[in-house]
Amino acid sequence: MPKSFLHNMRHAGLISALVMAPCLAINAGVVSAETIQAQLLKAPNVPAPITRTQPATVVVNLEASEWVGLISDDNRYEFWGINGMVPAPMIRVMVGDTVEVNFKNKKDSKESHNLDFGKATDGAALVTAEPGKEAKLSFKATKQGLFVYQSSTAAPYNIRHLLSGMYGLILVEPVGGLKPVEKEFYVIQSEFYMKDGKKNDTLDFSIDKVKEADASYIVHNGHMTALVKVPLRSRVGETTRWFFGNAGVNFESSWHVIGEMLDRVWPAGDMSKPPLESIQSTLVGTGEATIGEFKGEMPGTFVSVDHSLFRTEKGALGLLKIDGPTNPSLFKGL
Amino acid sequence: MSKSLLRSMRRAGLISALVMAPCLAISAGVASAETIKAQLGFAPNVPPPIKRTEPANITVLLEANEWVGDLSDDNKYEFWGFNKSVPGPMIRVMVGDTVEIRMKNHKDSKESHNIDFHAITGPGGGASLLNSEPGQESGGRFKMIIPGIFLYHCATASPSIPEHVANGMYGTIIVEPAGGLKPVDKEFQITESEFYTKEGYSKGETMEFSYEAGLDETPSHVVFNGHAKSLVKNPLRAKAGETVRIFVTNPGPNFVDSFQLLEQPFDRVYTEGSLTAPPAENVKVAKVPAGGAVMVEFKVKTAGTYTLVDPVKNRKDIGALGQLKVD
Repeated sequence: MPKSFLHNMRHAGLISALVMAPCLAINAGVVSAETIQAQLLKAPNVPAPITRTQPATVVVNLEASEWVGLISDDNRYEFWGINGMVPAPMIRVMVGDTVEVNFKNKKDSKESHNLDFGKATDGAALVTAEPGKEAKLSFKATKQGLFVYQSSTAAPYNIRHLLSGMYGLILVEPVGGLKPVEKEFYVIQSEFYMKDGKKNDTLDFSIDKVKEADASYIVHNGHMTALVKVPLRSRVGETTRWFFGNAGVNFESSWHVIGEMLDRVWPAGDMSKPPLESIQSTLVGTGEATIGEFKGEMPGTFVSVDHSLFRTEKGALGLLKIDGPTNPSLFKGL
Repeated sequence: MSKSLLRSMRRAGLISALVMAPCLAISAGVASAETIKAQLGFAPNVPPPIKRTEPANITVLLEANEWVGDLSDDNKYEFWGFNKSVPGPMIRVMVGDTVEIRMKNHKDSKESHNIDFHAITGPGGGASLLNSEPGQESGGRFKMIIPGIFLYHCATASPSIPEHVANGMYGTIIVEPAGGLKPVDKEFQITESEFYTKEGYSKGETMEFSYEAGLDETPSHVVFNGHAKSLVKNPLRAKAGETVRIFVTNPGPNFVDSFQLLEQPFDRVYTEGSLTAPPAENVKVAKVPAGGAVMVEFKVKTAGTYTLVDPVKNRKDIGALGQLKVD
């Protein structure tokens, strides 16, 4: 299938529906697992829930590239990311699935790039490609949960990879999938360390600031105001489920939604365990991810933050607009 | 009852004592909830446990103030806080209660102030309804639908939300589950918070807030209950064999806290302030998210001086140290 066709389908959001299985046949009387093309969307969008009950082979096409883009309205930065996105697209599979990663490094990249999926499986799962090259990785998603996949820490290593946007989430659902909810969102908190500069400058990476944990920006979804300019949306009575990752590298996040309570939180996204309930703020460690859910009880604008509040001044926030009727028995001015 | 009458009664401070039930009638055979004035607890003390089994209407009056007080034995600081206390007073209610909060801003304040209650479900945790200019008053009525240990704090955007928190505008509200918390022998509250000040002060001077130090997350003080080493000067007290419960609140504004009792583990830690999930047991370090709280419980078996501390980096040296004396 030509790449441009795949691209178009991805853009049209149709690819999730595509089942490539038939051509894999039933030769030996054993039904082969179907092969499915992963739906790869830009955050805060989440791939469609899994409704199948049998493991499949999920094909994930990822391309590393380097580009200069806006980190805030004032400054640019040279991002290194996947499929032109920071954070990288969320990958959604089921426990028992075989994940086939086709990893390309764009030909005009300066760097060799790699991705590590080791948290979602047993043993190492690293794929590396030089500029203009392509590599394949196949691993079995053996561990249920929500994990950060990222540029690897294997030597030789430059932490700049991880601090330039090379991270995303992979959700390994239990068999049968997650309980349906009305809305799902994908948010990653990440840190950027840059040398000082003026308005409209493209700022250079600063390793000194990394060592001092002196972040220039701490953002939700790759830009200082990504989720302020385009808020998330839901309605009163709807349950929203958040896949919230922390790319790090220095700060634990105290994730909180102002004006709401997280009704349920699954630390590390492990839904085989009972959730924490009625949580105001939950810790998301560096390199970790969590699943949080709540039902919107009141209309209005709700602010998702890292409650380490000075970080909100650096971009660690996003908005959720909830529409619908008010509930004066719950919330009323005097 | 007319709104103006309500307002004048509120001004007169009478409303808290007013039981509104009779006029709301019992025509359908349902008794209306009683109205109770909240008993406020000033750290390290807490309000008494709830004995009722039926939800009530609770009235709370908080006043925002700005004043110069002691941050340590060596230096003063211009605090912003509630009811002239850092942390602000603890409020204790029950799930199902309706809480009527009135928020006064003292006439001498320079800033406008508000309150975001993490226990309130609705935009801003009530902050827009509870915003008051200097000399003004605002109010809101909120139903407590979720139990837990919750932070409340000022969230006024001018000059910046973190500045209001950094200056001391926070406190704790406990929403007890139906049936209340299990009784224990001693209850205390400890709030661990950071202060960010400009460098170069000599003894006796009043320190100034530093926005840059806040951004850099480099506090000059990390304190328990608003004053460096306050709980060393005035230790908590218990008797051998007693079970002690501490509500530990972390308003930040930046740090995740690692609260510890050096001499023994906590028997139970209600992680992230959840009172509905079973607690973690035999826990050495109670981690508290910024903007979060936990409840810890432990039985002190032997007499002696116990150490309460956040041992991360230099926090204990700049104030995050306290004692529990067991007789």
